[in-house]
Amino acid sequence: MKLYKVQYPVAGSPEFAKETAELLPGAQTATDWGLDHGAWAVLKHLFPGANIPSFQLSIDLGKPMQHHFEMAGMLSKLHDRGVLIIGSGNIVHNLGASIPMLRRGDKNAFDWALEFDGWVGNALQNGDYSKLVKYENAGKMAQLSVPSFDHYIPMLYSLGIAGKAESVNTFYESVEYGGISMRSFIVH
Amino acid sequence: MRRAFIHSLCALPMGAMVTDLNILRQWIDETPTTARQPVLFIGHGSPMNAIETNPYTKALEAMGKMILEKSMPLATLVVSAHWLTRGTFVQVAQNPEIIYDFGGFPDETV
Repeated sequence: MKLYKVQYPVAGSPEFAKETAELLPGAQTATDWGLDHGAWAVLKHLFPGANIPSFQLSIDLGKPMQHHFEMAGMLSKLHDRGVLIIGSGNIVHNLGASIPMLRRGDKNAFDWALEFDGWVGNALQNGDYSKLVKYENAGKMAQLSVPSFDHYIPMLYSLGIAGKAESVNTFYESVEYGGISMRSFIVH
Repeated sequence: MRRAFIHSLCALPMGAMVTDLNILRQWIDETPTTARQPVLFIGHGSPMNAIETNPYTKALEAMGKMILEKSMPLATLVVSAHWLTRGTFVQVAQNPEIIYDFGGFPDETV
């Protein structure tokens, strides 16, 4: 199959989308976005039948980490009513350091990437979400693993929605091509 | 059926790690089924994962089946690392189009 020919013919959910915009202060609706590859490449494997209406929420890059965690908490009503919310990013995402490894097909992980991914894994297990919001305090390994925070922020949405009472189970764990973590988890 | 599924998760090769499988099993079997959905975080990595079959994509398939077995979501809301804005936006399309928001992968010109 060709990457640029992949289709995922799923319906949107304008009703839930409008409700989402109403739940978040200052949020606006948009018609100039569809499903980017952070959404469709994941949904295609999770729900190959493409039979669950799907929509997206953008990330405001001008806002601090705490803001994203708090925004997520405002979405808990959707979660209660049957909307499956999926954060799609990478806990460790240093593309600059990984590109030479990707080109060589070298799947080994850098030590700092393994260290930070493990640190996040422990915090998830302990429910220590405030530590994950303030990940920059983790020093050098955090700087190298999160050189720009766009791929890290989706995880804060997953944690902020679910709340403390629920438990986290990692169901896939791997750091590959130097600095890309594929860690994936369910909160239930 | 369920047994076969659990077995297939256990058979994933190294690199794919499944923890606390019993807890997930308990979640399916013992927690009351309500409208409430779980929440996921997915590490998405290279776009090539979209068309490959590997331990990672198999883990996603298995997780999707598990969620459907528990209760079908009414919708999915994705917060993706690839929709970055100033201000907050929610996509309200009736029929969202696929965006190929990457470059330099094989078959680009095909």
